[in-house]
Amino acid sequence: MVSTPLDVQLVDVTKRYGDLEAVRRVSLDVRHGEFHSILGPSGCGKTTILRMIAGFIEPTEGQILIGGRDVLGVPPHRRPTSLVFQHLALFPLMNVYDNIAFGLRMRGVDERETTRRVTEKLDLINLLGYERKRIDELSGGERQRVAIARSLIIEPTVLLLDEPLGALDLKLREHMKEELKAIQHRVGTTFIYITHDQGEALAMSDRIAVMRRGAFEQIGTPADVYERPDTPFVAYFVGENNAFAGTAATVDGEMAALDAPVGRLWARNPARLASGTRALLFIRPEKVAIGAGDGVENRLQGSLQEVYYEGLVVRTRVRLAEGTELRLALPNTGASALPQTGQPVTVTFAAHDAYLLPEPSV
Amino acid sequence: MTIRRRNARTVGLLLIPVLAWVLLLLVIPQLRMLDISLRFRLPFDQVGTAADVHTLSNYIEFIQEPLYWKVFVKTIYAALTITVVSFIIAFPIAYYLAKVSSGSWRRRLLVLILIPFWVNEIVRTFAWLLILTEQGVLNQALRALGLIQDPVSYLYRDSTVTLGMAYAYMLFMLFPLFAVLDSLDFSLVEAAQDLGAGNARVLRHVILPHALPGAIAGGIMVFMLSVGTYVVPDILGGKGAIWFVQIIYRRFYDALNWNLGSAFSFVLLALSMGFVAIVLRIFGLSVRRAIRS
Repeated sequence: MVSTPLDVQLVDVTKRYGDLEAVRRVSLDVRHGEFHSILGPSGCGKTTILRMIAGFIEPTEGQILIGGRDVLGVPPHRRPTSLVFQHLALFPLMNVYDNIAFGLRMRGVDERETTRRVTEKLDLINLLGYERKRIDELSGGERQRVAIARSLIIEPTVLLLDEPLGALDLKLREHMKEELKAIQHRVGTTFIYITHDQGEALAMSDRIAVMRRGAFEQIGTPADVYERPDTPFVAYFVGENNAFAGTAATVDGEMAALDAPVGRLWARNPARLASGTRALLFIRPEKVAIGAGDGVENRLQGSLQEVYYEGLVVRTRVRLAEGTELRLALPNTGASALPQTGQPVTVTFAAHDAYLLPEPSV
Repeated sequence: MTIRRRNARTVGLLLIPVLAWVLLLLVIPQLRMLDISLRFRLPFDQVGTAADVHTLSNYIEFIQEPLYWKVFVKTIYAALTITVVSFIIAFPIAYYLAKVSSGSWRRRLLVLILIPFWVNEIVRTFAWLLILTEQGVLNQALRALGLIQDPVSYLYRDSTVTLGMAYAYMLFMLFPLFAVLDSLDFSLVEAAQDLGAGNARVLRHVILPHALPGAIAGGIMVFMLSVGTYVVPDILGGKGAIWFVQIIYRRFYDALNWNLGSAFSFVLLALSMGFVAIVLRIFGLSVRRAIRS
């Protein structure tokens, strides 16, 4: 198998501010052409990582390699990276053309070549004819695209994006997600994308690093982090989840039982938890069904609480016999199937859809 | 409707003192000066008689006397130098205050800069005198260090006057610059760096264009104040440095020729305003562009 070259490598990178460890022994390999997200709640250190790759912050310890070259001590303007800022930071006194051309002019590219390449990038972002427009004449989405073109024109080894969709309204954000992915597909540049929005990360990324308190909890494909979380934090943070706390009981190969207040539940046991350890069982809302469900291992009784009709799905909660609540997301298959509030129901889920993870000691 | 009309009347009443102030203390005296400048200087008993006619002779005297022109051009040149010097000194300070310092440290620095300016301009200028005279602090220090043998006379030179005035009007440059630089989004600086601009190019392409409106506002104030000042050149320049305002002063108080003095005042006013207008014209496009964004 031919290995894809690594565009960005972080090796045990640590950043300390006094006693505070903003980033703790983080290692990351980003392959050429990859769309790699770093996902985490605000304040987890993800922007610090991005600014260390861009060169605005130097790591306290560890190594950063870009295109195989150690960039420690190389200032931002000499690094083969380009950053799309959270609030874009387009130059307000320059028009669209001058904004995009800026990086080429700093490199002393002659004006004819500059015009050719700016036009090429304007074509890429579908803004041909916008050359003379001022930045404040553009819509939010257009600014976004200009910022991306301005960064791409210097042909960086890696494009760094710092939550650039954060300021957009929902509809535009959905559209820009697709547009961003399409642009990346066309140019083939490696993207490192910072976000706290798990939906964005799942939809766009080839791989995601989930970050918490300065360290990576899990690195994997969107399906990996969604279907097979390594830690309870990832299970809670990526998507929605239901959890049952209990004690792992009978372990049977890949599967294990959990003795919880609601009764005995069966689930996968990827962490190979031994019988008798405290554990959490996770089950996604969309993996729980209402109704008998023949041959399904886990069966619980409860009463239906509020029903939220959301169009694509119908969300509801079921209060279980012993008091805990289970969240459900039911596919919208037609009005007649809509559950009624207060109804007693049986909910079921398959053992292979649920999984056990060690309960955090805190 | 009635409320609005009553409001309008209240506003009108409130405006009376302001309008009276402007009219009585500014417009009428200025018109009177203009009138004086357009008449001959006559013995007291002939004022108001048939001999007291309007004339352009005072203005013609200005045009015909090369010395006046020389001093006038020198004054404009010096005021320009002062403006440039105060920009060069104020810009790094303003940048440091706006973009590097923060919190209580910034507030303390601002107070430190302001304190000397709580003192009257004349007193402040005399402080320079204490530093710069032959027995002054600077000469003593240089001699103590063995750098010079005999005291140097720094006073009564144009360069000293320029420096003293750049100091006197520094704040008028510093604060507009501080205000515009404070509004500069630092991520623009980082974006420029990220796209390959070193420090000099960031300064040229991002920071200076952003600071231009502040520099022009500060520049106009410093320039107009420098052109029209009397105190600093008189104290630091003495007989050695003659500024145009001193010529005007001497027409009024030494020669008691109010007619010529007021004519010169109007020449100074008109020419320096014209000069500012030209400068604004040159930067006009960028000012408008800067205001728009």
